[in-house]
Amino acid sequence: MLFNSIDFLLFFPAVCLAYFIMPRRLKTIWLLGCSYFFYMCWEAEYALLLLASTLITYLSGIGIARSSTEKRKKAVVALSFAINLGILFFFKYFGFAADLLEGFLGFFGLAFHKPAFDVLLPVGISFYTFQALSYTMDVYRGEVEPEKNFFKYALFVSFFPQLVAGPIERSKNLLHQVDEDHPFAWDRVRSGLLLMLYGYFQKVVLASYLAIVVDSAYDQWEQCTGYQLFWASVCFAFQIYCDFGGYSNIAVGAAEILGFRLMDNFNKPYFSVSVADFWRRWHISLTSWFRDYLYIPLGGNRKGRIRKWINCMTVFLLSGLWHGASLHFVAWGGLNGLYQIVSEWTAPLREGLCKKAGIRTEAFSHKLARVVCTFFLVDISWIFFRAQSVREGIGVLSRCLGLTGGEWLTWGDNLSKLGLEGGEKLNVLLLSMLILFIADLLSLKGIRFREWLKGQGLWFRWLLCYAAVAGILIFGIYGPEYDAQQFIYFQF
Amino acid sequence: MKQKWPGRLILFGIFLAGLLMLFAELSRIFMRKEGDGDLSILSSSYYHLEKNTLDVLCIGSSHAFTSFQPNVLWHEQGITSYVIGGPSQTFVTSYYMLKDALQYQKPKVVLLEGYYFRTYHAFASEERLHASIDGMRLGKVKKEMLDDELSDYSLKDRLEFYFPFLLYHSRWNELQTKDFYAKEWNKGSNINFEIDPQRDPGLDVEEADIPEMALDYFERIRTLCAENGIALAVYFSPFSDLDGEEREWYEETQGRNRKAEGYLRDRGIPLYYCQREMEDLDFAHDFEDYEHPNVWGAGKVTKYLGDRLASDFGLKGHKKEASFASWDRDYEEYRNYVELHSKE
Repeated sequence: MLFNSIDFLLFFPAVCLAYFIMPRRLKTIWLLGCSYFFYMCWEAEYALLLLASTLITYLSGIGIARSSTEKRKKAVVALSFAINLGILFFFKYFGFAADLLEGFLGFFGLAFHKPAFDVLLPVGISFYTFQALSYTMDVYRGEVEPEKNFFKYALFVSFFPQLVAGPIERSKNLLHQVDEDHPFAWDRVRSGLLLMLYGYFQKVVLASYLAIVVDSAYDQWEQCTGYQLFWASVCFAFQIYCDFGGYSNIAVGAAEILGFRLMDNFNKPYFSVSVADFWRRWHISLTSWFRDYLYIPLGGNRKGRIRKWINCMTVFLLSGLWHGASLHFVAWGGLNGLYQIVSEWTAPLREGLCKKAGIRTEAFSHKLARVVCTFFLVDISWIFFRAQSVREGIGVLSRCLGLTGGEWLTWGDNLSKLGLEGGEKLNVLLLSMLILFIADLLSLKGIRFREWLKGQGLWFRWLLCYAAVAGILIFGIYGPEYDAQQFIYFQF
Repeated sequence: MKQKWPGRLILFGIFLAGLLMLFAELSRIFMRKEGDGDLSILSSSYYHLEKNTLDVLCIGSSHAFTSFQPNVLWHEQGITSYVIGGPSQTFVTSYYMLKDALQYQKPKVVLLEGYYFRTYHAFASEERLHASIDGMRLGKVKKEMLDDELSDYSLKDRLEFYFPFLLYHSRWNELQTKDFYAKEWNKGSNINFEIDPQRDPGLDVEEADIPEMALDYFERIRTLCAENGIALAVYFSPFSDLDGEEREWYEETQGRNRKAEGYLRDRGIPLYYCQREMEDLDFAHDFEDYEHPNVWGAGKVTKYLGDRLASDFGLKGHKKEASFASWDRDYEEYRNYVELHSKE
């Protein structure tokens, strides 16, 4: 059940309505049941995996609490990680690993026939596995008390707004909220609804229109010029932001309506002034997960420069792999790791150059240049994320840079090649991008739009809401695709 | 600060009502409109008619809305009428459309065009079904119809039929003035100015079987009319065989019409077999294609039907009644439209 489906638009109000009128003691069970129902709408039997992950990490928490020695505690943690990551590996990476092994052995002339497993990737498995594992680790570190009530813990792992696409919550932030009373509160509900509305705008309008451009170019990248691929790649940077950011906003807004506070997952990432800054603003819940549960345990920056770089690269390569079982995701992660290493390595040189050239680093123009440079560096890595293979990624990048593919720019049907023939869709896209830019800029300036709106007159608030709803309804891409050709009345 | 519940609840209710009104208005604007020259769908204009002001309600497929012109009937006889027709509209759909329509009008006669005695399936295609029913108001009858016609569809797949806006919202870049101000004077009819010369293929054909489904829903239509005290009449709009290229289809269709003729006679239902009974039909001039009369053919068919309806059912004209003045204005619109396009 996707957030932008009719099913969810029926499901969510029904969940909320019942949630707010039922006795407090039933609320946890109700949300837990709803969360499992939400999950089972995809592939019912995979709820068993969710249950298994929940059970293992729940028991690990109790096991750690009852272990008398550090060694035993570590053994419990290791067991929890091994089983959970084992399940994740089997369902997500088995085919990929087998392909790699086949290729590797084939290189040496050795035959290897990978076993055939016809398994579907369980939706959200990477998200809930990481969330559940964070609990094991937090209990081990003594940051949270082990939860005794299984149902409360199960709700923490399966809470439907963030179950399948995050934010990946921490037990220390979310688990205790299950115990809190969440009565109906107008202001909170209104605030959550507004955030959901904005999320729907990002997802259903912006991401969908950007997807038209991106898909049109990338699906036939070998027939596209560098100019077309360049703009498609720029659009992809915003598509993935709006798609994922929009989904996160809907999740955070939905949770807020129910009284739960989830962490922000994005913080104006394309205003970043360096790649390191970008990773503090992009998919914050995952980046911080890797920082807390991988980078720091590996030694972080405490064991010298080389070790720090190795740790950094390890984190980014694994982050790439987390996003998908394919080498082009690994390349995307590796490129981002490389940016960080090169950036740190060349930092003294760049600072020295700026000083010698008399560049005023505090000036707006300098910051703007850094923002633009960061965007393009990140966007180059996005090319590998969007491509279907490393080869395609290199092909697209080399065309974007004008190294291959003949003429970089040709006058003519650029808009239609990008799926925007007629220009009307381009107007909608540009206007929507302007709204996104203004929203992020206001947020950057510390203006909380929802708070500001609360202080405005009723007529203005309503008018704005109606305009937003109408805009999403009209310009959003959803429902069956209307094709005038199908309706041509050629035969009665 | 303590929240004032009743006040907020009322405001929230008003806000939601506003949202619903917004959705309804958007749906109206974005709906594909009738009178495109290629399509006729039930327009909201039916619901705008003053209650119980119709003498005749014509219903059927494209054969109905191309051959029956309410404005001609008004001009000739002063009889008020409307066509509820959709492309490939089967008797199944016609039954429910009629059931819905009778909630707003109680005509003296229901005139069913009989081409869909060939009803084998509930609907021909999703697109055709949309074209027929999208203008229908959301209500109990529409639900009943969708439950029946789309019984093997999930609720999710039926949603686009309940709320056609889900389908039409992407028309934003093709909206025209008429989407905001719908043409209402044509009263459901389609007016076509093409001339596609045909031959008179004759009516010397064997009888053909009528599908059970067609008879089932015809009987439902008959019962519905009887329950409402409304007379039922059937007519067959004329058509040709495309110079013999569609001979098999022609013989099968006319064969079914022949069969239906006996069926209707046995039940005492008046039938107007235009192709046989009309004397002034000109196959070389009166058709837009081999299946459908053009504006001139439709004029003749409508005049003929008007004469028969007036005499068979004793229908009286309303021309001198002040409360029907808008029908004169609509006829003027029709006449101007026909004159303008005839010159082209």
